[in-house]
Amino acid sequence: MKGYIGEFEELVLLTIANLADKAYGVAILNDISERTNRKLSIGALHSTLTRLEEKEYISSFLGEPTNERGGRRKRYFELTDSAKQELANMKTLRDQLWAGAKVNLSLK
Amino acid sequence: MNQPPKIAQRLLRLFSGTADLEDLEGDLDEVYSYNVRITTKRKADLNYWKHVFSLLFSYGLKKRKMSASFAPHYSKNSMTMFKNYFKLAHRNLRKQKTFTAINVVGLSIGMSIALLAVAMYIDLKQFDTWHKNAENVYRVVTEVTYGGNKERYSSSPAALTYRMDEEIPSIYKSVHIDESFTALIEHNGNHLRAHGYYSEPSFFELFAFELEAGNPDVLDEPGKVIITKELATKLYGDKPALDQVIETEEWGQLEIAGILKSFPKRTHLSFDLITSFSTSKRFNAGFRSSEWVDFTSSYYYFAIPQGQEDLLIDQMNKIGKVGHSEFEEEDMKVTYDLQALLDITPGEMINDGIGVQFDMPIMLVFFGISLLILVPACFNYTNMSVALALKRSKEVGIRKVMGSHRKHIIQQFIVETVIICLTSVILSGFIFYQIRLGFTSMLAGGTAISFDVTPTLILAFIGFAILTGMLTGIGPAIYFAKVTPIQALRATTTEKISISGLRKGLLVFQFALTLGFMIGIGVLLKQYYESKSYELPFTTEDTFIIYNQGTDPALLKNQLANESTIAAFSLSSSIPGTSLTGNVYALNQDQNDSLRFREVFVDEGFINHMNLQLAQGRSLTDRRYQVEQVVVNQEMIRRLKLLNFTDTTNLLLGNGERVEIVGVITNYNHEPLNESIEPMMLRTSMKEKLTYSIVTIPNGSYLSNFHFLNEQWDQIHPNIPFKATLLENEIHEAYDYLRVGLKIFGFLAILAISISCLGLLGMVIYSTENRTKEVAIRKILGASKQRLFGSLAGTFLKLWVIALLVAVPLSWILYDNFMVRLFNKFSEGVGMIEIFLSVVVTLSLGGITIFWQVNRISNINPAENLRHE
Repeated sequence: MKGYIGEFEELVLLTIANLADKAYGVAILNDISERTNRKLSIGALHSTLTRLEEKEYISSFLGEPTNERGGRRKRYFELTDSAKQELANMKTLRDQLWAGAKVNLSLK
Repeated sequence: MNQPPKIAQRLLRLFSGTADLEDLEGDLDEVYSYNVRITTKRKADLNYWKHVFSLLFSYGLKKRKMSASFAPHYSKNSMTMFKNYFKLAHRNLRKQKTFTAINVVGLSIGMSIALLAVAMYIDLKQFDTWHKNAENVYRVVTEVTYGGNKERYSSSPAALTYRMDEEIPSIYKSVHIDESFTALIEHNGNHLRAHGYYSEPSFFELFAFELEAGNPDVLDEPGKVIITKELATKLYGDKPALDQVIETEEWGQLEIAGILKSFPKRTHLSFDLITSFSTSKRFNAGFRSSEWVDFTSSYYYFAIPQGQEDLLIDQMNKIGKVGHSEFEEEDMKVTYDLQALLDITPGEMINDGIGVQFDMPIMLVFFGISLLILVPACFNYTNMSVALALKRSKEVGIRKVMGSHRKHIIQQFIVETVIICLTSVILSGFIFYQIRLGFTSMLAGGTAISFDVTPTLILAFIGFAILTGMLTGIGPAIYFAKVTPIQALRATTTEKISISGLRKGLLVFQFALTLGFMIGIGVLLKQYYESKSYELPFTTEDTFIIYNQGTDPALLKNQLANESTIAAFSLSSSIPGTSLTGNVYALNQDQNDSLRFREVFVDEGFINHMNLQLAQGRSLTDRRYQVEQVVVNQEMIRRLKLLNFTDTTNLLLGNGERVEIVGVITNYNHEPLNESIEPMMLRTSMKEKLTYSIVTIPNGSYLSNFHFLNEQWDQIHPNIPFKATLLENEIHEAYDYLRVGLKIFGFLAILAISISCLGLLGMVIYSTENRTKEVAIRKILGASKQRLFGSLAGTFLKLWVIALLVAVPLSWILYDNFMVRLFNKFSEGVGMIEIFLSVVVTLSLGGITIFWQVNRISNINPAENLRHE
C-alpha cells in the first residue's frame, strides 16, 4: 500500500473517475459541491490535488485554451494505476466490513 | 462583460511570483463568470476574494512556488554549488589582480584594529573564569547616594561583611580582603615598592591561586607574607625565597611564609604579596564590628549556592540597616548589591576597583573607533566592486539567462567577498601580532591582557572575517542581483563610465575622514610643542628636584646652607608644573557652602625661590602662629567672593583646622596645562609632607652639579640612594599624556589615510583604465598634456573640494571645542597654520596617487592603446 488516503482524497479520486475526460478544477469542484452539499474553496481543492499528485495517485496535463476562461488552458486530471489499485483495496475492505457486520446496517 | 476584482488578481500574482498560475486563474475566472450569471456582481466579487485567499494559504500554491523557484537542475547538495562559487570567485579575483591586491591590503589594515578589539574582548571575557565554581562567587557592591548622586563602589564596609559571615547561613565560603597593604622593601640597598592585600586563609579556598611552598594558614599569623612567584624571582632570583626575612620600612621585618605558583594573568585581582590582617593593628575587633563609613579599601567575596541571590540581597540590606545612622551623619544613604565574579570584567563602570578595571563603556568606545577604521575599508571594497560592474554585469547576465536565480548571484558575490576577507585576515592577524604589545604597553594595567594566540582567538578572527565579508559583500551582491539579462547583454563598452553618485559620496566621506584625522595630528602636534615651550611663570632653569625619601629635609638644608654655588633652596609637597592630587574644602560660616581647593605644603622660601608674584599682603614666614598663616592664589579669592563667603581672611577647613590668609599671589600654572587654574593654598604647617627639595644652582654643568649634590647627600644619608632630576624634565614628563595621545592618534590616522589612499588609487585606476582608448584618440587629434590631465583628474579634484568644504569646518569646530580644551586649557585654539599644513600634506598624498596613474595613461604611445582590438 502506498500510503493512507483520507476520506476527502477518496472522494476527489472517485469524482475524477466519474468525470472521466472532463475532470478539471471547476468541474471537480462543482461535482463535489452538488453531490455532497459542501462548500468547497479552490484553494482547498488544489491543495488536495497537489498532494494526490505528489503521492502519484493522479497525473495532470494542460488542455486546449477556451474562450470562457480568457484564453487560459484547463488542467485535466486522470487516475494512475496505483490510484485504481488503492480505490479497489478500499472498496474490498469496505465490502468485507459490510458483509461481516453483526448489526443490521440497513435503516429500512 | 464583468471582470473579477483587479486587486485580488494582482495580489495573487504578486504573491505567487514566478509560479505557474494559468489553470488556477482559469478556474477562478470560470467560477466567477458562473457566479456573476446566477447572483449579483458584489456577491461574485466576494466569492472571488474568498477563493483567492484560500489559494494564497493553500499547499497547492506553495508547492508550485517552490518548484518554480528552483531551476530543474538544482540539487539540494549545495557543496557542489559552493565549490563552483569558490572556483568562480578564485578565477575572478585572479583576473583582476590589482583590484584584489588593493582590496586585500585595504581590508587587512581596516580589520587590524578591529581584531585588536575582538581579541581584547575575548581576553576580558575569560577573566577569572579559571577559579573553581567561579559562577557561584559574588562580591558586595555598596551604592552610596550623596548629594543626589548615586555611585557604586566595589568595596563594602567591614562591619557589614563580618556580620554577613555570621548571620547568613547560605554563604558557604567567603574571604575579606583589604587592598591597602603596601611595603617599601629594602633589597640590596635599593627600595622596592610592593603592593598587596591583607587577607585570610580562605583566600585560597575561594580563588584558585595555588601555593608552591608554605601553606595558607600563615595568613592567620602576624608578620608573615605570601608573595608571588614574580616578586620572589625579583628579590632572590633562583634561590629559595621561603623563610627569608624581608626588611620593610613600614612594617619592619616580615617573614616570607609562602610562595604562589605562577597563575594566569587573566584576573581582576592584582597584587605582589598578601599578609594577614593581624599584621596591622588597624584591623581590631572594633574595626570588624563598627567600621562603616570608611569602607573604600575593604572588599568581601563569597560563594553561595545558585538561585539564592535575591534572598541574600534582602538579608544583606537588613543587616546593613545597623550602619545607616553612621552614613546619615555624613549625609549619605547606602544600599548594598551583589556583583558576580564573572561580571567584573568587562563590567560596569564602578568606583574603587580592587585592581585594574576594564569597563564595558570603554570597550564600546574602542569598538566604535575600530569600526571607524574598518568601515572605510569596506566602502572601498563596495566602491571598487560596483565600479567593475561593467565587466561583471555581462557575466551576471549570461548566468541569469542560463537559469541562475537572484539568490545564486547574491551567494556568488558574498562567497567572493568572504574569500577576500579571509585572505585579508591572515595579513591582518600579522599586523595584530606586531602591534598587540605596543598596544598593551599604552594601556593602564595592560599587562593583565596577554593576547595569547589560542584556538578560540583564531576561530574568532576567522568568524569575524566571515562576518565582515558577508556584511561588505551584501551591497555589491544585491547590486548585481538586480541586473536584468537584457540590460547586461546589450550594454557595450561605449556606455557611460562616469562615477555614480553613491560612489562619489563614499569617496567624499573617506576623503573627509582622512582630512579629519590629518588635521587632528596637526592640532595635537602643535599643542604638544606649544605646551612644551609654554613660558611657565615660575623658575625652572638650572633647578634640581631632590626626592627626600622620608628623610628630614632640614638636614639637607643645613648641609647646603654654606655652599656658595647654591642660589636658592626650598621645599614643597609637590613638584611645580605637575599634577596635584587630593581635594580640601573650605567651609562658609553657616557651613552650607564649601569651596573645593588644592593645597600645597611648602617652606617659607618657596614663594621667593619660584619667583611667584605677590598681589596682596605678605609672604609666608617660618614663625609659628596660633592660627596657621597661609597664602592663596587670586583664583581662590575670586571663588570665595563668588560663593559669598562672609570672611575671606579667616577660613574654616573641612577637617576642622582654621587658617588665616595673609597674602595673595597672582595665578600661576602649578599643574600641567590640561588643568585650568584651580583655587590653591600654600601652607607651611605639615613639615612631614615636604617630600621634595628644590635646589637652584645657576652655574656649572648638569653633570658636575648632580655629582656635587650627590656627594652632599651621601654625607648626611650614606645608606639611602640619592634621587634627583631636573625640574624641566619633571615638567616634560607631565606632558606624557600628550605624547601617548599623539601616538595613538597618529597610528589611527596612518591607518585611515592608507585605506583611503588605496581606495582612491582603485578608483583612479578604474576610471583611467576605462578611458585609455579615449586618451589615445584625443592624443592623436592633438590634445595637450594639460588638457588630458585636467579631464582625467578633474572628477577627483571636484570631489576633493567638496570634502574640503565639509571636513575643514567640521574638524575645526570639533578640535577647537573638545580636543584642544582637553589637552591644553591655555591654548589659543586651533590655528590656520596647522590646518593648512595638514590639508597640504593630505592633498599631496592624494595628488601623488592621481598623478601617478594619470601620467601613466597619458604617456602611453597612442598606437599601443588602439592596437588592442
